[in-house]
Amino acid sequence: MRPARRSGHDDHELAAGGSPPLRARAGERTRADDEAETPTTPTTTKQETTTRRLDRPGKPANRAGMELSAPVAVCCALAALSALGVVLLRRPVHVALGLLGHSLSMAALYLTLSAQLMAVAQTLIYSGAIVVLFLIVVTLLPEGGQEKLSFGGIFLAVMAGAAVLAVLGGALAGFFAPGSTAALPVLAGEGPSVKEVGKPLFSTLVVPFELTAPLLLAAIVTAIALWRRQEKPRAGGLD
Amino acid sequence: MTNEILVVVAAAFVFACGAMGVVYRKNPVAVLMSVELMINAAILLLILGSRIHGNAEGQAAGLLVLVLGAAEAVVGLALALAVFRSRSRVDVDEPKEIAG
Repeated sequence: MRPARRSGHDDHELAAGGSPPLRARAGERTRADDEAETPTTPTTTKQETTTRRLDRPGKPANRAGMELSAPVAVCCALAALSALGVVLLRRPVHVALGLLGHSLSMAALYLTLSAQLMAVAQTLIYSGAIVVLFLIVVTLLPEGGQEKLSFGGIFLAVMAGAAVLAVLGGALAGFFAPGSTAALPVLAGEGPSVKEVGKPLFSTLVVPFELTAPLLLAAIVTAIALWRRQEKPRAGGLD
Repeated sequence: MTNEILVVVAAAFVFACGAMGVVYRKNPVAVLMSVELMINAAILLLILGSRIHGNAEGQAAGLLVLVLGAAEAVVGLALALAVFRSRSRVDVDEPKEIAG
């Protein structure tokens, strides 16, 4: 941008060498240009910061998009609390309700991250279908699925949780380091639309997408086959 | 503390909770629910990555993982019912017929 402007400036000066009136006009222009030059300096710095922002998003200009916002914090807290509930509650029905709360808070968290399609899918598939399936199975289990938990089990579980947290913390340490390239900001504005989310499903992710069809079919066939093995063969029945 | 770091920490915490549940729980349904927690944490990270990079592929992959979780729940619950329906106690460590 700047070199082009300079060459234009030189052209004026060349033209100024022609005739006196032209020079006068050109002189006015140059003065005007010079006057324009002074406020241009901040403009150029702004341009530089813009390019820097494009190169390394996440630097100072985008700080506003990175600050902690209340909806995200509330949703994260709810998701973490309900996850703890899933692990610590004793009665399986309460555990299923904890999972319901967890899935709903996750859906809200997706909404705060502008992933509307995922929020709807999470609500419909997880809260609507999977949690209900869990509840039905809980009622079918003997004793309502009550379990006898041991103290040693708790110790082992805490150790396992701490180990997983340590491994994840080590893996994500680069994310927390200030100025790391991984610490990109959450982009301001709208997230990808449903149309944009659907596109990769039919281009780059088409193979996994098509493979979900046999996967679901296999899941259904397995569920039916496992259940039918339990049933007593009936006289005159389908068997 | 920024939004992304909070979400990453929450995802790691939820994943660790799921791992704890898988180790600690005796009820097969509760174990499966803990696995669902871990899957949810993974989906959350996919969506956060999609948001950060302004790339819709992360969300599309998240949808596929959601379907994977549903299929896993269906098969796991069918197995749990098939194994524990006829037993008096629910304990994933008990059945000998599925021991390797």
